[in-house]
Amino acid sequence: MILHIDMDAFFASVEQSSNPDLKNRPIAVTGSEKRSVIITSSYEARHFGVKTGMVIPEAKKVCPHLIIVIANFEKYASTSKKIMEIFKKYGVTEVFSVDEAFIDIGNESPSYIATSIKSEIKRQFGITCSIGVGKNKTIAKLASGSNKPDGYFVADSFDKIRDMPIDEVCGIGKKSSAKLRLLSINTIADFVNKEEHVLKKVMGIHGIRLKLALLGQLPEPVNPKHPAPKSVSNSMTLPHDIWSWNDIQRAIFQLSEKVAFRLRCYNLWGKKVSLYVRYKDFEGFCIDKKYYQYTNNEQEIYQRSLDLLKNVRLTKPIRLLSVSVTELAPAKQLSIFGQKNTNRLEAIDSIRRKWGFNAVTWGILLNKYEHKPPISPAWRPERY
Amino acid sequence: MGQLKKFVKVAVIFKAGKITPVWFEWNNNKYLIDKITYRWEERKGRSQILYFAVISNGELYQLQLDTENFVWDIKHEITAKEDFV
Repeated sequence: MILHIDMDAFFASVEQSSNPDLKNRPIAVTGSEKRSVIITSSYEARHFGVKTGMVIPEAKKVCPHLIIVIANFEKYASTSKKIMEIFKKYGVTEVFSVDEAFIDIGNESPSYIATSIKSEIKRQFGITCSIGVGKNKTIAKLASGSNKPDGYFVADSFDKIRDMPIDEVCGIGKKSSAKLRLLSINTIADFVNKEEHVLKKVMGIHGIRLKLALLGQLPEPVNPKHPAPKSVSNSMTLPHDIWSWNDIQRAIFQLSEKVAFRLRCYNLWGKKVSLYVRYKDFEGFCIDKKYYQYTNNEQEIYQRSLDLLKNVRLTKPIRLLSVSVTELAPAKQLSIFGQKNTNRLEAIDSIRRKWGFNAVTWGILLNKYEHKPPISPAWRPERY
Repeated sequence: MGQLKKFVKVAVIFKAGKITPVWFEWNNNKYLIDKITYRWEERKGRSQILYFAVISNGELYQLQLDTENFVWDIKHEITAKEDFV
């Protein structure tokens, strides 16, 4: 059997556990005090309608006594690493995100293991988690989400999941869910009873895989080695809106540097560069271009991002920027750098791996931005 | 949230590879630690920093130990009670 463990309102729970004054109170965790959105909130705040992605004034409107807590990502990362170590004692573990993991427990008793994990996490960190059990990862994840917070649900037969809404299935996003509802597919039972050619038309081959998974006919083994990412991106809400070309260049360079470093950590190169710009009024646009040559060099990614932006007439000051690289390929398939360049980048990366990302940077970025990006959903203890 | 950074003297118990602060002296006052509410750690350059959220006399403090030079630091956490007024 597979266990899926999902920490309940992870960042908010860690803050409530650290500070007893915050217990049982509506709190929201944000990236900064003013220019940020709600990253997560406690269940007490969710009760009032506070949602992830709201700006602070919006959240305060629905919950006037909401307490804003500035995120401490080191605290969450440190906690996550320790929690994942607990999971590994019980079976092969796949870290799914900063606050979620799958464990293959074989033929062991799921209730005994779930109780042990819950009590150990509660004792060490004072926080709770929800655990789902199923034949495969899709069913286990569905089960953990069905009984939150501090839940435990064993989906050992199809009858236990058949009436669940289709949009609760991992892998069915808003767009697919809307399309399925148009075809009167509202529940998991509706989904698996639909002809395969219909599911294929709506969701491609993924639709058929999902049907097999929900019926428990797709094994989905727990994989302790993470699959290579399909894209690497970094975004930054700027400390203040920027308008000058110098500031824009510097911010893009900072993002390119981080993206390039992460690509090299994964040993990947990419050829499509995307730039997302959000204006101060929250309007935004995305531009991208596929290049012939692959890269994982910050200067190259920066130059490509600037080239994209040069074709655009900016109309308002910028609040947020994001740089992404997609269409990735592993290093062994490519050989595009000169030895000199590769050595220099390897030297920079080895310093960063040993002493942290900020141990070395480019002169253009010194003393400009002190930016701590939030943990992305793709964060893993051994990733960057 | 307010922050005051001062040097601090901390008494700790080392047991089973774990560091547990028991009291600290700060601003000429001695504070007994009633509870450690949270522990975490962070890598900063060559230093490993250990953090402890502690309660003393109903107040929350954050103690931090730089394991590179064994220097302690303190932050007095004033919680966001004003948000309730």
